[in-house]
Amino acid sequence: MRRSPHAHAQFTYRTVAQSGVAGFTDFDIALIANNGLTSMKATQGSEGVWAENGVPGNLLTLAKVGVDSNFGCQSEPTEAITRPSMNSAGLVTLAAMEDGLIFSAGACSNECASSTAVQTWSGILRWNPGSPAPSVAMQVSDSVQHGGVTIPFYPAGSPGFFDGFVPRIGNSGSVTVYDKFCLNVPGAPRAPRSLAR
Amino acid sequence: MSNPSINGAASANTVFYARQALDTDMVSNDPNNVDFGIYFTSAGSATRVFVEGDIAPVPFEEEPMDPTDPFPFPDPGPDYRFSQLGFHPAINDAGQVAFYARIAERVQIGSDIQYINPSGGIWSGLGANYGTYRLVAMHGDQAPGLPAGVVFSGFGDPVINATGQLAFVAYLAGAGVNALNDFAVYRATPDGQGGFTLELIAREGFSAPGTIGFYAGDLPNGSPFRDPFINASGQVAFQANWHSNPGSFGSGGPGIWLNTPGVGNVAVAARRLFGKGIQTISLGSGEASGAGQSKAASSGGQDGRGTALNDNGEVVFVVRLQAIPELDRRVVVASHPSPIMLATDFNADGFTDSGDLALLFEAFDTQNSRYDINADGVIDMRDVSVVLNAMTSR
Repeated sequence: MRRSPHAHAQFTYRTVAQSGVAGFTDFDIALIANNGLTSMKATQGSEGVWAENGVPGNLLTLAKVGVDSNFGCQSEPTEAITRPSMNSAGLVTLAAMEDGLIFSAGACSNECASSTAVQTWSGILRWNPGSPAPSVAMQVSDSVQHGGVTIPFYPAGSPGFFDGFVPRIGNSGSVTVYDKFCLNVPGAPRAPRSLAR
Repeated sequence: MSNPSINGAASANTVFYARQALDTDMVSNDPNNVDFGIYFTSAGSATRVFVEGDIAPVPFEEEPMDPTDPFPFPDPGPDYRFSQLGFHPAINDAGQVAFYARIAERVQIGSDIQYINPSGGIWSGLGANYGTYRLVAMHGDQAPGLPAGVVFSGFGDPVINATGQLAFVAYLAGAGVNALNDFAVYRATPDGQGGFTLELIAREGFSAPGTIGFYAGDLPNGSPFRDPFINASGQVAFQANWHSNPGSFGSGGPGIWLNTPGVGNVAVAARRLFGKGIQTISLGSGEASGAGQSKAASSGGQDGRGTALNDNGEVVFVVRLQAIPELDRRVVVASHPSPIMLATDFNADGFTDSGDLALLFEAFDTQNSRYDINADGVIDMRDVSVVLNAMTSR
């Protein structure tokens, strides 16, 4: 007797997203929280990261190539994103890189990068379920405290947080990522500096 | 330096490996070498747990002292030192850490220090407290659940769950091992006495439930298994390739299996799904790690990486069901409605049906607890009743 694929199957299947629906053409990594909701990297014209917001199938765009990720002090399109990480409660983090001549002067200037003509602005986004959009958790204009010294992140040459390293988010919501600091840049200023935003 | 893993503790512990600028391990005696170490942070303060050259905690059987020896000296055992720590340590919310490393035995021959007997293993312990680290499995150990003489000869990066259980891919060698059966997946459970109990989950060449074939690598000596995921209840999800002919390589198809303690492996997605064949499938990022490889794609659910297997046993994956790349790609969540449905699928083909009933009848009057569904110590008509209910309950 030929069995129906669903007859007495142990698993039930829920399609979260499908190519040809809502403009999606491809999917990359997919993650799941303990409440059964998911996040994924996908392609919808361009690459982006989506998460189910509150109810199954309600996909929210968290970041997308070509769309501003709200880093820095001016609107710039996102050039690249990493795959996301998601914790057990459904919080999502990812790194994104924006295009543009950001580090010229003024409020957005970055001493580490001042000698380089073309720069990118990158950072880490974090999204809480229920929020309409992710917020900026860290960006290249921020600094870190180490050994009592304030050290700026290093956006020059490499695009800051976007070295292919994926930020990770613990179950309490804290985010960690491997990145470079100006401390190791020859000739780069090591003096404490203020945040640009 | 690697991508750190982060747990959910209030102090946001992280664990990562990093290299030092100077050669201190003396393993290579190369002044241009660098040493990798594993570091643990708490509230932003990093502590070195182990660095290459440190003593690797390896238990040994002490030789009895000679009662006639007027100057007895306790056997110190082999002096194993870490020789390579450049892999991906994992962490859970309690701060327990697990990692794979290579080691070598340090011996003094005359005035020279030499390193011999290269080996490797998986260790687990608590945070920066190096005294708590215990060996989980080591190259050369008998592989549990397999014939005598089958031993471990390599490991992938382990993942650790909320209770300190580990899951990992192992590379096998020894009696009867060849390119068709040299990889396996294991779960390690703390035994409460400082050690671990290892349980074989799957082996290359074994029947792949839900398919007409066997777990098989794409290439000779290639692993059919990707890095596994483990959840808080010890369920392990893993991606693998299978082939209908165990004597040949190549992928008969990709699939995902879920191992539940006490139940065994069931196919989450293999051979058919929604009535169609599977072209490709991806669990997590689909990347594997292991000796010489550097991508950590799996998770224990508390390491900040994101998981494809949640604590309720739900599995999310990316699947392509049509040969044309842009057609019928999906993100799918698989849930099992009831543990009893898993328990009654004895042949693990994804269904509870007459085939399972036949196996149950064959197990009558045996002591095989796998078929004792109601756990009353007897395999009888009461177990048959449970299976019949499972066959008609959906």
